[in-house]
Amino acid sequence: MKRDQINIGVYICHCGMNISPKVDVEAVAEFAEGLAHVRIARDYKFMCSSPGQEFIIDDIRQYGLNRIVVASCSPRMHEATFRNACETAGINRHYFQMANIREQAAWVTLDTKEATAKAMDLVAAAVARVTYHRPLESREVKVNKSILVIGGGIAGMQAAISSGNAGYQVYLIEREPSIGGHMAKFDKTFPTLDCAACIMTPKMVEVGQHESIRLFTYSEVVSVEGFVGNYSVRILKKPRFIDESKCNGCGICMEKCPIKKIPSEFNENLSFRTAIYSPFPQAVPNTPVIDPDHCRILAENKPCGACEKFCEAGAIDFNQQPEHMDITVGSIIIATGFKAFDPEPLVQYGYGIYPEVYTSLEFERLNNATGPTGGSILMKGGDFPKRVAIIHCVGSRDAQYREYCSRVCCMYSMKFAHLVREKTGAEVWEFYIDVRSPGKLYEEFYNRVQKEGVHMIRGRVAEVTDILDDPENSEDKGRLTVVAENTLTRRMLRIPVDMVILSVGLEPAEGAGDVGRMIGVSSDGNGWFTELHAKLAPVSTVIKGVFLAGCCQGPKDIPDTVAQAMGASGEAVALLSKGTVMTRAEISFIDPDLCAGCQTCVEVCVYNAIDFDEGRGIATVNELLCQGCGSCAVACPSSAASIKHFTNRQVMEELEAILI
Amino acid sequence: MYSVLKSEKGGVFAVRSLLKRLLTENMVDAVFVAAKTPYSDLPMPTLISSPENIETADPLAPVAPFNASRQASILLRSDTGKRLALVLRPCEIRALIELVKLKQCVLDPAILIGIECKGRMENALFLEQEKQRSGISISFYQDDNLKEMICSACNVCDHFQPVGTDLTLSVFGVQISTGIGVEAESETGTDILKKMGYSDVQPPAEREAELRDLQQQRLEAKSVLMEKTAEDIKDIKRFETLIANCLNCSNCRVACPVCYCKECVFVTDVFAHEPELLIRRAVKRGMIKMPTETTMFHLTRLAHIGHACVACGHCTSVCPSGIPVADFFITVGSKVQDLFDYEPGRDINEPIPYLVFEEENQ
Repeated sequence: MKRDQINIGVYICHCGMNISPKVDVEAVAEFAEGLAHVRIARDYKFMCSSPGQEFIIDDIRQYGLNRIVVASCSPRMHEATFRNACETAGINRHYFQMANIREQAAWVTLDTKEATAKAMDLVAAAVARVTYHRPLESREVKVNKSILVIGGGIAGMQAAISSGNAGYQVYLIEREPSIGGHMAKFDKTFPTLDCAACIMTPKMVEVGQHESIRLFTYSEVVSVEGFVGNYSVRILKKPRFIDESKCNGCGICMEKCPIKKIPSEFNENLSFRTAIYSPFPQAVPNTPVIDPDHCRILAENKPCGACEKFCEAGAIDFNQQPEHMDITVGSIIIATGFKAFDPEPLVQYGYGIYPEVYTSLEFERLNNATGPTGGSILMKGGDFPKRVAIIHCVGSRDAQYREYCSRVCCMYSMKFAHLVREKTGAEVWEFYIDVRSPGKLYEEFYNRVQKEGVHMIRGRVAEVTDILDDPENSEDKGRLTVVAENTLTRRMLRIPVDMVILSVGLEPAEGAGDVGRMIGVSSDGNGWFTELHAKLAPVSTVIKGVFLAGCCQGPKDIPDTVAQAMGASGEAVALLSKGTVMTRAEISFIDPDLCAGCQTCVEVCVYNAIDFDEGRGIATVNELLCQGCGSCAVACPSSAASIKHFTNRQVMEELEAILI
Repeated sequence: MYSVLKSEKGGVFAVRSLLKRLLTENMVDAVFVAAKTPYSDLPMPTLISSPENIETADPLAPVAPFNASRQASILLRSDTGKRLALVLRPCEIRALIELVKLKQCVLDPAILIGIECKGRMENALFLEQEKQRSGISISFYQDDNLKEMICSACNVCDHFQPVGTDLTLSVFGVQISTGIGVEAESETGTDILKKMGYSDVQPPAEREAELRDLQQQRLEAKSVLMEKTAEDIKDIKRFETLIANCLNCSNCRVACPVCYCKECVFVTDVFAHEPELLIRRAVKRGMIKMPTETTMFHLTRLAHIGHACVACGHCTSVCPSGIPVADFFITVGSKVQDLFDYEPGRDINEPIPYLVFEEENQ
């Protein structure tokens, strides 16, 4: 199109009372009418309303407009609305430009004159830019109707079940020998004190038996390539050294294994396991694994084979090798969960120094029927504790460690207090900064625990020490002393106790960063995955087709985790159910005449969307992989690489119109 | 391995005989070296394949009409299977290494012969001096008055010893009237010297002290220049004053060895403004100087290749308005390079800073 054929319509929105009292919209419209190529300029109360859009459509038809500028709110709000109007009237949706005179002028400028002048500049910029717009088209590509779920904790399991129930093929990947995650370690869950195993194991069984879910345990995702609808995923299946198809889960191998003194990871090292082991009795799949670092045959090449001898199914296979599996999925749900904060650096609490200082996860196992003590809350010497201290916010709400609140510690601490009181009758002191109980029935549980006689003390503990105030007092012999200030009574306290539980906070799971880098999902400063929008897109990520469930996005309790997993599943299913996705139109383009072949763009592209054509000596863009991020355009000195709809020319003209 | 190439006619003749032997003994297919043409005393980068023509080679002449790395990179665009010996100055080799990193050429076919460089004169000055007294390729190394005539960038250059070479022609501590030193810096270089039958000798005793003194003198001069230039470009007004006489002729960009784009963004239509915009700009400001993009041009070049500036000074040499382009490139370039602990041309495997992502730098 020749430049003298460009016909622009400019529409200034009052946005009710949001823009018009600050910006003289009529003056801006009059100003716009004087700009080059502008055929018509109007102002209207609500451009986004149906009549507002009709104005645009009618004007395009009546005056032969071929470029539209709307000066109103942010493009994030209504760009799509007006682009659709352009399309309805028969012009390309990219022949549209929005000037944000609400957030960038009316809302942020005190003086009416200044706001109006700025609005004029913004409109002039949009008009200058739109004359350089080019028509762009998107393409429709087919999607693969399957979903990858990374992580088999409660979040991943729920996401898999919900997606599987919708009829989609689900691949659930878990790096441990069994699914279940942290929840499988808990005995009771707050605030209802449901038995975790009772509500969780049916889900685990459902995952194991679901016709749409293919479960890969003891497996890891090693690479992810591709784009929404078509991700190629490589999975590493670590060798179990047991043929899953033969094993019947009888467990005789574990009884016969002579290597019995390996600290049990599942029991937080509070008990031992064998070299051939299943982490816990309800494990899914019910197939053990052989720990190659401790097995006599695998680690030391010494004669043994006890498991092999007794296995009637003949399932033991010492020659199993790591296997790679390649799958293609349309969508990915990340559910990599959390790890508990390691309290050792906080030496003042004595963890790792005094045997009776426990982390909350250790206490969960101590209290669990399948744990090292069969569910009796016993000290290392075998006695019940008579006095127990629970310290909140260990690692959390601490500028030196984790600034954030881990959200679940107050509630599980009160659950612990209740369980200690119930099972041992011991006296319990809880040391808290604030009690945070915002959840259904949470405050009620807090009240209940207080009524049960738990001492709630507001104050951060200064120290846990084995130095007693009164060494002569035989009753306190061997006890620890918790030193704190009760900040409500302003009294210093020194309380002798038998057991201390550290309510440690939550951190991103080990290796979560690697998963993020592999897929291209960013993390915040603490390592939690970043959602697309904190409020309006809490399960989506910047990578289309990749969703977040559970604690990998931030600390959460079980109800929130399950809800988010269902949300992520819903989003994934919604995306795939249509069967196709539209490619982005605003992607990179590399001008073959300008490209000098330096391959800088190839190196800076995080989406692997740029290839080097050796034959022609130039870089080329894979239109399906490109996300239009613009890194290549910035890095390319000769501007051979540019982003469609954000070309240098378009951006420069926009800037020029404002700056001159 | 260090050897001395003797020639009673002087160092240039010693170098010529070395290059000649490379050709006659079939160690290389051609030699790329500065050589005098029949038409002028100004030595031009020349690709010589016939041993007789080596007599025109004059790599020790204190002049470089332009940074020869760009011409070298054309020869090294791909590996043709032919062996080439390239005789280059330190700043030319450093630029060449940057061009390799930018995938503009390869070093596989190249035997790099670096020259220890005491500086170059501007082309016109060299021609004038050469006219007054012939044999400046020797007298330059003996006459302190001539040494003072080197161009401003060379005066602040502390990279007078080439790095990354196979052979280095050494002028420090050597009486250039009697020959020249040669140091093998790689296995290839050592092989060549051994094949030619040179023996390993101690470098002259004066060499180290001479290098040290020059280093100190240059670093002092550089810090004076950087301090002064930092003042001159302290804010945009002063910078605009400094470049006020810029004609936008692009000579500096053409002369720049690391400005490698096929087509500069300033000749694409990004800055080809519509008349309506220029008129609107004039209306708003009362007047505008044309061409309009001089400041943007220099700032963009600084942003694009400041990190890769090898301080060869050719940008200043070619400026028709006498703008000290190299001064602000050296000043800004050094600071950027320090910031990223990057030295252009130091090591072919040293990644370009903007292609490296270090998590700690987030």
